[in-house]
Amino acid sequence: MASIELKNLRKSFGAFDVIKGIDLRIEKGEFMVFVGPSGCGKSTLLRLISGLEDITSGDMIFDGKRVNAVAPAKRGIAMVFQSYALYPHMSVYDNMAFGLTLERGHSKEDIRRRVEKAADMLQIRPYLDRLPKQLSGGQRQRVAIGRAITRDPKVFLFDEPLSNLDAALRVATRIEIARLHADMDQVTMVYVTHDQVEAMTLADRICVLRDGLIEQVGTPLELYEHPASLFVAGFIGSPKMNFLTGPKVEAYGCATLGIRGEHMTIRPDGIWEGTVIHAENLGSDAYVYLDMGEAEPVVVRVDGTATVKSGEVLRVSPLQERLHRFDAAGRPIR
Amino acid sequence: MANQSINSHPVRDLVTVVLGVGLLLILAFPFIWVVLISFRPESEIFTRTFQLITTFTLDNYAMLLEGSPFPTYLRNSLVVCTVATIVAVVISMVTAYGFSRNRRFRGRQTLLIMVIATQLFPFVILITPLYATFFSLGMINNPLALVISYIAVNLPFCIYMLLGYLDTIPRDLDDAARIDGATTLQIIFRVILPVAWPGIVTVAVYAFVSAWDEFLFALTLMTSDENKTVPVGLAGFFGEYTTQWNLVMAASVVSTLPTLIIFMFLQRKLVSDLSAGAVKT
Ligand SMILES: Nc1ncnc2c1ncn2[C@@H]1O[C@H](COP(=O)(O)OP(=O)(O)OP(=O)(O)O)[C@@H](O)[C@H]1O
Ligand SMILES: [Mg+2]
Repeated sequence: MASIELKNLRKSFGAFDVIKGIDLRIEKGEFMVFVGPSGCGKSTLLRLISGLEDITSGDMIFDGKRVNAVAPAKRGIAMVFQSYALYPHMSVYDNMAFGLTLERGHSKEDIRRRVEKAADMLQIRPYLDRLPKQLSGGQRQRVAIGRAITRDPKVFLFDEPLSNLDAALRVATRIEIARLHADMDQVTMVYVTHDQVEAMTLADRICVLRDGLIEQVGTPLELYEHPASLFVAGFIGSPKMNFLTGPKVEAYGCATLGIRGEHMTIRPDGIWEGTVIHAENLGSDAYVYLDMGEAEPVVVRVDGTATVKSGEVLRVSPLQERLHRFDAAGRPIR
Repeated sequence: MANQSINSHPVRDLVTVVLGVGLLLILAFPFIWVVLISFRPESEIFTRTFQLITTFTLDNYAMLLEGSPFPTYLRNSLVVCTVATIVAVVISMVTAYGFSRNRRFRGRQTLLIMVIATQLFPFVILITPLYATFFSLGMINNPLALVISYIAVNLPFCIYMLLGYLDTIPRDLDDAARIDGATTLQIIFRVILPVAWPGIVTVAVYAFVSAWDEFLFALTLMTSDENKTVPVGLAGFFGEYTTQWNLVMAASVVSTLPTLIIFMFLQRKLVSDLSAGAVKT
């Protein structure tokens, strides 16, 4: 129920600038995902939104009101941490109720009703009397999300909430978060992650950060199809986009030619030739690493049923309309 | 340990037990001796320690508690040490929290060194200035003077102990509580303190025991009989010409009780909390 506006936002720790001037508008009910390499300032930006960290300069605006000096608890936000951050000495119920008991004016029944409602949404009702240490990692993270829901926030903040979970739980909890977002369509969510799949599947828009600045903001498909820079092109999508810089590129009139593994096909009349270095078969599909005389091996995605042997020489062709051309400064040529 | 019945070494185990018990006896001998003598009539206190056929009597304790000022000493000690411990724990908790959570403020390192530096003085050299200060404040024979001294003396160690402990507690907990609307004091006492319980217990036991055993300050600052604490009072039982040994022994036993009780009670709590992984988030 809140739009968030960041205006020329900066944050320094002592002489060290971490956030170097960010302008961004996050719409009501939007799911915004922050991605970027480690240390680029994602968590710091999230903490600035939460109010846990003081703003060095610039403005933070919630629903048209400047909240620079507003305490975290008064911003109508809730946060879910990578480490869950459950209070270890309190039962699940008390963990979820803690925020409400600190606020004046909630009756016992009111608190119970809200905790139980949140617990039902996340199927953690049976664990309400347990201590956090008696829960599995996945259950703990659901409790942490439940604690956030209980506060009935206008803005949900997530800092890598799934990184401590194993692969299967990650998928399950990711789907849970997506469902939650659908159920609470008025609630704005800001989500920090390292994970490509989380970013692509959850986000309405993705914000790619690099070294304290925004590199590009857009829908997952916009970023995938029209990266605004070499950096974004290399960051979004898995496996990473191939960048060709060798003699082949000259024909295309650019410094770097980008092509994703899934946009190349192996065919006898392919225009490029390469030697298989290695092949990874994931079952559904396989990644073939080719030596094409480029600085790095070129990855081609093929069907999982294909059989490819190391040392084999293959010919590949890119889909012409999927080629990305970049100039020497790393900007796309359109 | 679990499968000892399958894979046992009876001889080795026996030796271990015998050695252990022997060591325990050596360590505990003075205490056992004191306890045994405290239950003997005055006429028999110099008979052999482990001679079991002696008269058993509670007279020493009766005399100690009814015919001597010892109960007053005991009460003084309990009040002074309890108050000093509680205040020291609260202050060191808040201070250590401040140091632990603010890693970059100017002067942090200097302040921490100053805290440690207070421990460099032998306490003996503090006696004179301390006496002069409390004298000019009219606080000689005021138990508050002793409370303040004990707090001051114990704080540095308590702060350092707790600082090390609080540093192991993830800051995400503080952040979560802050978002939940807790004030800094609520974070310290409702979230961090329960999590830091084992550290708090260690510090509290240390503060209590060191105050309980303290002699010099108590001797200097509490001169009138009705304000004396147990160690000083006990020393008074050693007369210039005669010593009431039976009273001394009974008094020694009684004066170890609070420490013993605290240790037994808190240790159980401490061990159960630690083994339950209370600090894990
Ligand atoms: N309290 C602080 N004091 C000083 N420097 C800090 C502080 N918090 C973060 N930094 C620095 O700010 C930079 C950005 O940190 P931040 O945690 O926001 O990165 P991140 O993008 O979340 O990284 P990761 O993906 O590894 O979580 C890092 O270089 C970090 O060392
Ligand atoms: Mg981070």
